[in-house]
Amino acid sequence: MIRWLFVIGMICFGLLSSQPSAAQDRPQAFFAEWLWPGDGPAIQDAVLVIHQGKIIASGARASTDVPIDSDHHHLGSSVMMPGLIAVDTNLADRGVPEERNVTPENLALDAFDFFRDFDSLLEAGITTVQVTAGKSRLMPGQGTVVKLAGASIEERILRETQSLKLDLTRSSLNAGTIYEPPVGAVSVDRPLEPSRPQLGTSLLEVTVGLRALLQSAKQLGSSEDLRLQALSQSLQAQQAFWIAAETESEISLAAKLSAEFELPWVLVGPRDIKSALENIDWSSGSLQGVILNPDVKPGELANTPVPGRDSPRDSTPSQLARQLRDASVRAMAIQATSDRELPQLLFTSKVFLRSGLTREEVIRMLTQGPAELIGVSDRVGTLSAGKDADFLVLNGQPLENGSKVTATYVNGKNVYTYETPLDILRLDASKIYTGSEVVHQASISIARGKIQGVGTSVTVPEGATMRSYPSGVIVPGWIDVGAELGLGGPINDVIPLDTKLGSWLLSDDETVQYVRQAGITTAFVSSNRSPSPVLAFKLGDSPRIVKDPVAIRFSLTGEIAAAESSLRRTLSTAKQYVTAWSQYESSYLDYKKKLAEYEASKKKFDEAVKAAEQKKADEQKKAEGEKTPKEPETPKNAADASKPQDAKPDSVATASTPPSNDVKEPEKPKEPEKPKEPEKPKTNAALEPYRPLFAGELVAMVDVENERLVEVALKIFRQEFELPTVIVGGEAATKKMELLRKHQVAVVAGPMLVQEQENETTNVPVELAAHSIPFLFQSKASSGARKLPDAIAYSVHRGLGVVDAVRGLTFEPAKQFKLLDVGVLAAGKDADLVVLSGEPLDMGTEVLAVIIDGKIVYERELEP
Amino acid sequence: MMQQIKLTFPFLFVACSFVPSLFGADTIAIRAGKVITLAGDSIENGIIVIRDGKIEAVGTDLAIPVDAHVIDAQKHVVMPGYVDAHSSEGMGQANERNENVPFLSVVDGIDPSLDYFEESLRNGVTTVAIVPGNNTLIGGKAAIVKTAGQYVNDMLVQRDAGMKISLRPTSGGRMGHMAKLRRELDKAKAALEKRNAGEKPNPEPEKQEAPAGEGEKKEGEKEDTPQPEGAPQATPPDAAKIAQGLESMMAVVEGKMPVYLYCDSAMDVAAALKLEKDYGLKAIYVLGRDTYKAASLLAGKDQPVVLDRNLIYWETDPRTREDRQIVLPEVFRKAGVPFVFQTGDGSQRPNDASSYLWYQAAIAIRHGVTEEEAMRKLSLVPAKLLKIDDMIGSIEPGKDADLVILTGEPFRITTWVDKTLIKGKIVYDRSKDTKLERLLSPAAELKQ
Repeated sequence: MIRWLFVIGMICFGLLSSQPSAAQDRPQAFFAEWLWPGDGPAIQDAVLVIHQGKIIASGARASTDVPIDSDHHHLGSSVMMPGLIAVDTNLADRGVPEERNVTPENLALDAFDFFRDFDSLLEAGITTVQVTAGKSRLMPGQGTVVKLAGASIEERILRETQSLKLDLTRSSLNAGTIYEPPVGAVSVDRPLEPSRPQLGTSLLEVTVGLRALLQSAKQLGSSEDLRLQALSQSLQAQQAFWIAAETESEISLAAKLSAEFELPWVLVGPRDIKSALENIDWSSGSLQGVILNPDVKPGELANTPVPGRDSPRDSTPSQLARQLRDASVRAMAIQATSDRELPQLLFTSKVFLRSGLTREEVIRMLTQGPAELIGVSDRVGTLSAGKDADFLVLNGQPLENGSKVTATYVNGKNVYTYETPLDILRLDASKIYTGSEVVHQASISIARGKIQGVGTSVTVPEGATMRSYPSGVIVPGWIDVGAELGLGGPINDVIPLDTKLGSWLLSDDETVQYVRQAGITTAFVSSNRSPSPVLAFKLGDSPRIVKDPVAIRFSLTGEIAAAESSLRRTLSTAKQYVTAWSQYESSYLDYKKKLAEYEASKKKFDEAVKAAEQKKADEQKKAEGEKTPKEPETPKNAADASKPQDAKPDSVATASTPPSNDVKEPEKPKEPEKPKEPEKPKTNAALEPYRPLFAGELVAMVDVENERLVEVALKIFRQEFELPTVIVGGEAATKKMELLRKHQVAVVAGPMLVQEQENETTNVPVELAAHSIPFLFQSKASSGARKLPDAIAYSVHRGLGVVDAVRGLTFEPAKQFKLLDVGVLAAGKDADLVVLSGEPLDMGTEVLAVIIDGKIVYERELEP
Repeated sequence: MMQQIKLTFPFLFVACSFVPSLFGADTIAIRAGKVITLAGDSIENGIIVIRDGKIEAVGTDLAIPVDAHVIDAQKHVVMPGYVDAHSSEGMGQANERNENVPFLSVVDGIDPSLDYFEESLRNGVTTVAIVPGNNTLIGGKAAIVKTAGQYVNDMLVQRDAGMKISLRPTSGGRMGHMAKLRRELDKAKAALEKRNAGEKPNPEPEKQEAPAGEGEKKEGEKEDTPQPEGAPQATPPDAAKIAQGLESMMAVVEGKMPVYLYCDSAMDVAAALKLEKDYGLKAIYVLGRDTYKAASLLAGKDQPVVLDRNLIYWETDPRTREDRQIVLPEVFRKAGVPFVFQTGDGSQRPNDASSYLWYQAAIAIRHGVTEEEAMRKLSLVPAKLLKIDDMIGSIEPGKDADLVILTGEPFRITTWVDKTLIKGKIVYDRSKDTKLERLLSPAAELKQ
């Protein structure tokens, strides 16, 4: 009847949305883990193919033909389902409430604002709504069915006039002031008409009135009365009556009226059906379906009347749903508790799971069910070929906790995408190596770069991106304690010891990005010339300094005696310097203390002197004569006195004799002596880093070439200078196990972990582990650092325990180098972690994702 | 054109209370420093010859008739008088209490002594379409008037120039509002179909009155007859009154009487377009400021829309709480919708700068409209919209001599309206504007 011909508008919208037109011309295929078609069970490993706003194919990937020219969208572990359909909404802008109780001529479409911002509903996954013409009125008008998004108004209207609402509930029977406004000018002949009742306020009166109304409308050919005409047209068109009825009697009346006038009808919002359950033919006949109200207000607590012991109990919405299902009602739909709860439609619908409806049935009540009831099942409600491409992408199963609509599509166009805050994550895996223990079937939650929780049940921050790795294993990010990364290549020059290597770090280094794909999240770098500062940094997109310096790296090479003496000399000089400074520091502290003492006594002394002088002056004045009025004197005195208020009585008592005393020269207090500030030693930048080293804040990493040098290193660093030491050079170390154990020194193994020489195999980490010597790993490579886990995997293959190996890559370096925030997966630590497809450090395992500081820096691309 | 009342009585002096008429001469010549004709290039040092209230000739080398009174505007710029395409001022009140009154006409409400007309002349506005206000459903009939005259009939350019229909709900909700409107239109449509089918519609006397003849009949009427007594015959007067309204509504659905369709919000625009289509209305879109969201729906219309008085305003995003500036001329220009300005908001006269038509045009220039186009939007474009561009809107031989003489280039802050002419008569002269003089020299007043 009415044609919305906004051709111009459409062209305009078309122009606006023409950017992806090239892509729109080709079919779009969406691959996801699950697909709920809306009218059946979920399909796993599914694909949905759309073309020009319509679905052209959907189903399991194996059995669905995907056009060869289609664009592929891989949605990973996401779930697809049809856009939700909300029925009996009050989204029409009705302005002031209608004054009349019966207005079948009113069209909800007239008051639906297509320009309103419906983003919050699209976010909630609602794509199609049935808009009622109003509530709290007996016959408020005709509803409409529209989409919440679309290129043009014409395209958004699914049904202009869809149903006639009849509200038999108490709210409409007791509606507010109702009167007929006068039509035309008010004059003597046309006086202002008084308000008059339109229909009775009891169900009985309404029944009579309605019957009369329907009767006359039915017999009517045409009428001057707009209402009757509209009603008559509606009856002729066999338009469905949506009858809101809550109680048993209201429902019975609704059923009676519909039978009497042969009205196809839909029951809206029943609360109590009881005997009506037997009396009404639910499955066949004129009843098309039932719309249920979940009666859940998310997060709200309200007192409800307690049903009396004898009063019959109302069924809960979920019980109703089951009763109706068992009575094989043709279609069921869920409405929002009220418009305010519309955005929580998915959550409130969960209430229907309570009494045994399956998830599939509840989803059907949000998709196919309402689509049938509002007569648009040929367009929306299911994901099957030929339907509009209105669908949702969720990050988890619908109706499951934490699952969220991440994208909404209407007519194949993306109308909402959840902006994933990448810093809030939740990962599920079959196993998590926290560094100190192994947890099975656990989750880890991350917010703002830090781990929030690890365990079998973690609290998920709102808006978290969810990643599920059912067979995956999560380990802390690997730490390579000797790499040549981040600085654009190895450094082969002597660099001053106070160099801050952190300032040399390059951003967006390709090598770093390549290496971290193997799971290495933290690396140590230094110069290859001894001694060198060592920097620890994270392999993020912009590298982040963990500690600078984290250690000083020495290397012992060449002729032993020379190496030994040169090292001793270096360390002695350093120690002298450090001692000078520590002496200065302690004497400076001493000086500070003395200075404070001096200042206190000096103050006392000054006050005593002052008091004495004052007294002297007073006496002089007294001697000169007592004529001077005392008034001006007092404030002066008061002012003087007020300064050292509490000190004065004291000083008077100690430093000066009582005022009556006539002693001329009071006992002179001894002036305190000012302490001397200790002399500051000269700062030597090159030696400065030794101070934290000797203080035990840094670690000495000592490269040793052979077993003799191991001895030398231990002798000098541990025995003579008592420095925290880590020996670098695994193979040499294996020959001095006892000594190492005695000194409790950790060993850095690598780059060669398994040496095979003349039928003799040395598996360095295994040897170290066997002697309970803590060990760490280094790659001593740039891009080759990527192979470090593989190298260790060989070691593991040849006998190294996985837990020990993981420890050597994570917990041990963090412990040895006192890095508090890395190496362990625990609440509060940095979120550096690696998701693996299986057991860590296994050749058969691949890296699925790498997270540095809570940011996913690498994710294995999913193959179709 | 349905009705055109051409006031060509040479003896009738336009006598605005505050401007004594200066000349009795029928022939006037203006020596202008510049003539912005809007019908071609502007003419430097031009001469405009006016005879009997009409422009006789425009050019540079024109012989000034000997009998002509010469207005020296050699340092000044002459433009066509400005046209306001939609205003609800000049009447005692903008709307009746009732919302469905198609039988009313603003002509009965216009009060020539109101300050509004004086102020219009002071600002160069010579023609106004006076339309019932927006606070209505079917608000009555509009009229196009010149802004100078002692009696309404002196001012009338066109009676029944259009029907006001407002889509902003008044009493009741939006649905009821639309349902009522559709009922009225359906009724008119049914009556029209009946008449076209040869049946006599109920209101007997109205039937003979062809729309073309209507104007003439009304011209002859005296004032103070709110509704022409079209019921000397047997029909009772009440029915005749209703018929009067129905007749007008029939003209509306027939497309003979334009409709000033007021759209308050964006959704109203969609509804208005639908009504226009469904009922074959000849709509003049009068837009509220919130309609900018629907600008794209109006794109490509040949006929300009009338923008809201508030051309610039701030809007707060309900979700992000972000404020953003909406510049209507920019939005509509970018959407490709032609537009003109208005200075009222449908009921009350605003006090700010937006009550000046030239100010509105200046705002548009600031936001990307060319100066040339802005000048056209002041006179020629609204004249075309009102379908009176055969009489006014540009300086061309044959058109009414409605002119504005500016002291300098238009849209400059230092430019004043020096003189305003309607039909060749000086109806405003700044040198004799004592109110303005007093306003601008408060010191002089203090001395007195």
